[in-house]
Amino acid sequence: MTLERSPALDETSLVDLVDRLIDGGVVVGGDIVLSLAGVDLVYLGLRLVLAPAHKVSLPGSGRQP
Amino acid sequence: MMLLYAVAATDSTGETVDTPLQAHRSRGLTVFVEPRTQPPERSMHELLGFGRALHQLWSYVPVLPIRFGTVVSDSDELDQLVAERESEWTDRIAAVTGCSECIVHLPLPEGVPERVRDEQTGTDYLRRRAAELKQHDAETAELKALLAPYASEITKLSSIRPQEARLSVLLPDEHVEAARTAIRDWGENRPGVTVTGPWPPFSFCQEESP
Repeated sequence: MTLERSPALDETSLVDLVDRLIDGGVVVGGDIVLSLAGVDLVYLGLRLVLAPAHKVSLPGSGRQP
Repeated sequence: MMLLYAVAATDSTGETVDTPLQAHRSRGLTVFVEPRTQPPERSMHELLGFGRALHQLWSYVPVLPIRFGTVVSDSDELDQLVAERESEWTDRIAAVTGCSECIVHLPLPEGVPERVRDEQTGTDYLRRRAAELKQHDAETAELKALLAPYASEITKLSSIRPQEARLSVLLPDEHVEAARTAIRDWGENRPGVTVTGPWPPFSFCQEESP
């Protein structure tokens, strides 16, 4: 069992963040959406940044993943 | 062109300090946007920068995050969009205000593609897999029941790793720690159970389909 609550993002947190940014949130239909159909490419890119992932931190006020 | 980040219900024009964002007030909502000359690149740099600004914004004001990559051409188009969605967004902002999203990762039962020695037939294999999946369904239901007293909403997310399921939970901020403790205790004998967050309410921006 692992719980993350630190200023840095570990691999699982980074995967969730990237996934939610490109597959969550308000979806606006029509042609004003810049399609990110290449999700697989984004995930491929994700693997490339996993090494320095521990250096990725998010600002906040007590609500940090 | 404007890249859209999030929608808030309050007049939150003062919450964009230290971000590239501007607050665009339209009808009863505030949309946080970044003026741009071109759409964002499909790069991790852009994506994480977007996430960082969004997270900072959410730490100050309740927002509905907007999916990365959503752009409008100008403020008139944005006003039109708000006019079409105002009621829906206002309702969802009310639902997520004061809440955070946490994501629980549940390892699935071992999937063994080849038959183990004591399985004599394909039927044996299928029976074992069915039992494993039934056990997983039972664990998922158990976890949902465990979280029900804390959660405002619970939804199942698509898997992004093999042999793993994800549940997303919308938790009032005052219940986040208690819920995480409950998950930790529940997961003590279940290796691989992991929680991430708290996050902005990415997975709760629209009503769950019945």
